[in-house]
Amino acid sequence: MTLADAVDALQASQPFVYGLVALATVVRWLRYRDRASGLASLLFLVLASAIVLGTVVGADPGLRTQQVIVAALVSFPYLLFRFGAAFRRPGPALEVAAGSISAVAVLGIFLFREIPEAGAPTTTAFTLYTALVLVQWVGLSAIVAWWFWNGGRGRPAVVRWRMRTLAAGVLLLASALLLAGLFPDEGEQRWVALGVNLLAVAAAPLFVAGLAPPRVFLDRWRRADEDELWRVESQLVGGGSREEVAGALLPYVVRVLGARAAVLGDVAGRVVAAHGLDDASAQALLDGSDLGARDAAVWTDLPSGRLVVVGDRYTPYFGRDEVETVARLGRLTDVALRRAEAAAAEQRASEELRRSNATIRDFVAAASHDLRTPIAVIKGFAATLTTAWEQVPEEEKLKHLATIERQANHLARIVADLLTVSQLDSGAVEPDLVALDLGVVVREVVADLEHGHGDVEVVADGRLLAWADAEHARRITRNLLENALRYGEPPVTVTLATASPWVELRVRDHGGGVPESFVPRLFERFARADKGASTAKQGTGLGLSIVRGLARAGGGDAWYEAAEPGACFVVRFPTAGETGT
Amino acid sequence: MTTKVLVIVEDEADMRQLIKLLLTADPRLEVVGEATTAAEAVEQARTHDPGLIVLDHQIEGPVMGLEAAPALKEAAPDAKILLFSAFDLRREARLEPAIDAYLSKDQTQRLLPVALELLGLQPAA
Repeated sequence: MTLADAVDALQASQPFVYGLVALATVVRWLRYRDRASGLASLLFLVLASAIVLGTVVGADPGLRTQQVIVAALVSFPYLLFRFGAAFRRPGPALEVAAGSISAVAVLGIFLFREIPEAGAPTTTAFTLYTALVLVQWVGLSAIVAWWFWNGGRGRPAVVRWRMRTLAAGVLLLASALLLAGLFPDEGEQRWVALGVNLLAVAAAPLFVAGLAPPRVFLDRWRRADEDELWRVESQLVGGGSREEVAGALLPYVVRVLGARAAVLGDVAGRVVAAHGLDDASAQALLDGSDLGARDAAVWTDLPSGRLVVVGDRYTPYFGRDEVETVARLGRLTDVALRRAEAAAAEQRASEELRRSNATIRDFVAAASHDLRTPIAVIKGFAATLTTAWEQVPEEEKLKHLATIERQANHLARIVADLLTVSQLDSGAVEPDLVALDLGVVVREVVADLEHGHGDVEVVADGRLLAWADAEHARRITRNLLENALRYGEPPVTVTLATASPWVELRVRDHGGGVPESFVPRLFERFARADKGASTAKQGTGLGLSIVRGLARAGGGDAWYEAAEPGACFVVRFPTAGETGT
Repeated sequence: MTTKVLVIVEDEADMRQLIKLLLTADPRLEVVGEATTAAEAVEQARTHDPGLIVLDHQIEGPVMGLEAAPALKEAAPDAKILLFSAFDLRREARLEPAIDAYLSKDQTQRLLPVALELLGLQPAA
């Protein structure tokens, strides 16, 4: 094969080779439909069309055809420039320069009446035009090649390889043109022609590898990053807390996409973790704030939230597969996060159980103490009466029996209270809510008091209807009144008033009040103040906890307010209508 | 016949009556003082110099029975102190040198024998 044959063969292959490049870019565009892919396919469709047209028309094309072919060829560097500008915005001066020189190159060819044959003498104007095209092509190509080469720095292997391969392709094609431009006399310089055609043909696979790399290339390039991917995957599968999951994922994501930052958000749009951004900026990003011109975000929706990766515009195009890898990791993250959530819930439940066990232990200790005392008294007196019936004087016998009865009543009361507390705990108390006139209830309870009803004053303006269970309302009132009479000092005032949407019941005495340090434990079971009058008086220690439990079961609440002097207990019930007289 | 004077420290009136009843079943024993708080108890102990103090743990006032024991011992050094409580305070009683014995309120029937033993008296025939 002669040199000329080789040149001819290379020339003949160009329409096919560049046709394939164009096809690959079009296929990619059809698949992803993004702007950069569109520009790439336009770029190579124009170039391939010009080459195909040049081949089809053969050695003697008409002037117009020649002009169209040249215009198409010289529009290539400008389209390349636009493609590069899709990833990083050039300065305005560069924009104007690139646009102007390309406009002159494309339109200028149509000013010529004749286009000289290769090797034929040319006019000065045409020589100048050729020089202009060389400057335009080589200049713009060099700029774009620099963008891609430099932009690949610090990026994951696939992205870097793709960007740098593309830069190499651009440079090879520009070199071919430069070579052809500097040594135009092809007739005597077949070696130059060989070089030009070799460079042009060699550039094509580089374009394909850069713009639409086949799977085999990707797999090979990715191998460098695979160990780390595997490590991250195993960390995610290994689970851990939310922080550990985010700590494994985000730095990797940032690295694998050559990104600036990554944020993991939950379904409610709150930041779970952020890498490369402070929490406020991360939240702003999740809230949809503007990223600025240089950045592009890749959003991955997860069942339990969102993963947002902030990078530059190279990432989504050159790291398309990496983005998919990240989406896959995102799904894995989701599983890991749900596991972390479940583990945290389990931890909370176990702590709750431990606390609850401790409460039950205290409860059992207090209950057993309070039950033992009356039992001991009953047993003691009963044993004495049984064993020494004859010796015990008649009046003593009666006294002892009265003591037994009193303690048995007390015991019954403790048992009843314990039962109520246990029902309240298990949620077994179902209030039968009716519209109840609390004034009537309070007056009935006061009238039924064994002792001290003369010391109680009831203040109620008109009918105060509240939604309440009648038995519960009586028990609440009785407990509070007995407490006030047992631990406080008369006079005791019961006030009923509307505080919409509630009716409030206040029981106030004029005693020493509740010691401040004891107030927080006042409504706990078996809570008894160490100081003051409470320790001497016989109560079950469950009264206030029952008051609060029943009030809450009915949709209300109970609390303590200090009064000067004395103590004031407040219970509120949901109001059930108008007050009137 | 020796008469040993006793002080009962108990805030529950019925329980106080019971203790008194059980102990005075033995004619050699006499209850001379009753108290519901630690302060009252120390006062009674100092006044009567009793041979035995029956001390409940959960009593009225800021000082609990167990904590009051050393002051009681100081007020009446010859007195034996019997901690008589519904709380299980066996360990605490053993660790407190001022306490001579502990009896649970579950075992009221053993109160008199324990008291007699502490006082070095034989059970009545």
